[in-house]
Amino acid sequence: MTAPIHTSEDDAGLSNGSTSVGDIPSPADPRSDVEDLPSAPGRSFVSNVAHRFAKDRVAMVAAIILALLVLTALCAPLIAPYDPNEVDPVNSFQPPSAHHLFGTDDIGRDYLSRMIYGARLSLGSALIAVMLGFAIGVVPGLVAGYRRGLLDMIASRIVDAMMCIPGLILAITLVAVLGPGIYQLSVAVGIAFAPRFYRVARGAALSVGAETYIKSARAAGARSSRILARHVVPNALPPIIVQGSLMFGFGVLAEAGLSFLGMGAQPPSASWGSMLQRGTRFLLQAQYLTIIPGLMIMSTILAANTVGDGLQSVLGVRRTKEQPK
Amino acid sequence: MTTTTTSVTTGPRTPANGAALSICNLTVTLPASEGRPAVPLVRDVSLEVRPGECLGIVGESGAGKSLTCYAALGLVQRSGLAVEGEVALMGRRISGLSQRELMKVRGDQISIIFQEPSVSLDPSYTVGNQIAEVVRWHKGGTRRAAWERTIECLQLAGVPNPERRAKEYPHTLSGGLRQRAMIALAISCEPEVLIADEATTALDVTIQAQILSLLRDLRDRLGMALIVVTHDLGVVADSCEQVAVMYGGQVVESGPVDQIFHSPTHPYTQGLLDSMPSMIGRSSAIRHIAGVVPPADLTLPGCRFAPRCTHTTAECVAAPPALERSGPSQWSRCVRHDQIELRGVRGDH
Repeated sequence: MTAPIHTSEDDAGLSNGSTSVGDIPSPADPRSDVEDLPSAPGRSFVSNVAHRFAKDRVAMVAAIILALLVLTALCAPLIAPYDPNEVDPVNSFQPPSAHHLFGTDDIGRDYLSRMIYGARLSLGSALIAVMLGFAIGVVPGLVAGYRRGLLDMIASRIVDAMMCIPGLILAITLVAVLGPGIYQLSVAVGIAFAPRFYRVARGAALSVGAETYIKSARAAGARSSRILARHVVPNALPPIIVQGSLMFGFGVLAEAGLSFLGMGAQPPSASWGSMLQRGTRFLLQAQYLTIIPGLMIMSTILAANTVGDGLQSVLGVRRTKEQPK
Repeated sequence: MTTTTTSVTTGPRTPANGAALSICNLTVTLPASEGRPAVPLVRDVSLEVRPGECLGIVGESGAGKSLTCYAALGLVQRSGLAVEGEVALMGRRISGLSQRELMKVRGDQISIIFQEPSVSLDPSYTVGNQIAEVVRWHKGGTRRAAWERTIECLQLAGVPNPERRAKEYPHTLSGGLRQRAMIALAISCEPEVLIADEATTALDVTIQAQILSLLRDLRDRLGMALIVVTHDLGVVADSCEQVAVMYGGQVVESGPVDQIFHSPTHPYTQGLLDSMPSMIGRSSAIRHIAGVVPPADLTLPGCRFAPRCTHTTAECVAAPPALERSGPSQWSRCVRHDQIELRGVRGDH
């Protein structure tokens, strides 16, 4: 990083050498900035993170892919060459060609247009699930981790009980209760995600709560609620953000899985999972009907995970081995 | 005295009983649970510090020095520790106050600086931001006024170029500067009492000396009482008038620094003095006190130092000794203090 500028006032009128210690790591001060990640003085945490993230090429590429996918989903009506639900039985099972880039399906619908519209449902569903899981899990997790005591014990036991049920089974049960459909599916997946968010948030709040600066804020007379909002939340956020981006990938996978089982998007609307499922019927005639959605699902999850990994290393978060299923 | 005014004052303020902070019979106990009996961590500690005075609390790790300070500020209840005893700040009893009331006192009338400057500041906010926040919640006022006060405090704490430093994040400052920023935060509301809990331990010796002289200087300028918690007798000799030696959760000896250093009346104090490296005379191996501090949950019928003491007799282990007057304004928790001959530090220290 650029060397900080020493202004003349910096050292003038000062009996100590501590100013220079901060800028030039010296062996005399073991607590100098040697261990710190490179950062320019005065730059905020967020811009620092953005700066370092931009230097991670792989994560950056993944982020761009993800952004393009989201953009595609948002602009679906503008981009899609055909109406995704327009049936054209004469041109069914057309392999990919110049007219139909991804070919056509069993009743002649343009597969590219269906993939583009499908991105809306698949990514939207994952986004709703992540936001819902975040909304339900994070606040109780932070409060429980910071306050500890009885509240934490009760909440954590409930979450433990939820974690005992495999995520997919829990989501299937919830869909069975709520009824099939993409929104019900998203809600079900969101509820299944909540315990993971709770755990990460609680762990983060627990470790932040033990930091000296929290003790120091209390010694300076800060209210508990204020410490939670001003000091615990910002410092506990990095692992939760990482978790969120990883969960997005799992959200796409969950949508695909549940739609594959017929619990998500109902015909004729397209989602990647339901397209994959329909494609399996014609596995011998038209492999591209399964390969294309499969590849899209895979690359989206890969991109989400890569972004998550990039954020993790940039934010300095250590992830636990635990992976949601 | 009901509430202390928080106007800007520079001279020492003297309440009715003369003490800025008085701690009386403070006991901190880890409550009994699941077959484990209650463990006393701090036993019946009484301390007093006057405005403008500096009190040193010394002892080895686990002596209960820091815990005494935290308990006095009401900072340990969260950890499930039981606190008994009276604490009065400028003549006003604060030990029975609710957390809500204590919040108004902490940071405003009594401040504490911790050992680790590198982790005492929240990395998410700039240094100035954190100080201004404390100023605003205790004193109110506009953002601008709080910011000006912040710059003023950083300047008082010897931070060079305070306007620029205030806008920087803690990780960009060196250890010494961070501790200065912590000091600025601690004095931002002009507290009556400032507790420096091992405030210089994590710093290298030159910075240590600067921070200590800064603390002394601020005490003189702001007229506050200073409590220096340390395990370093050199620090005490340097900056304190009064000293309390703690061992095993108890005060074993207390009195003016000169008296304690030249004529200790408790064998533990002598042990501590002996274990200090000396620059005077022939260099010899540093003497140490044999044995270790007894664990807090170990119940001893007599003196807690008896197992390590070279002067132990049957009398020592029979009953717990009381704190007795052992000299002019000097107190000792040794039953044999008038029978045994103890060496102090010779020469100028």
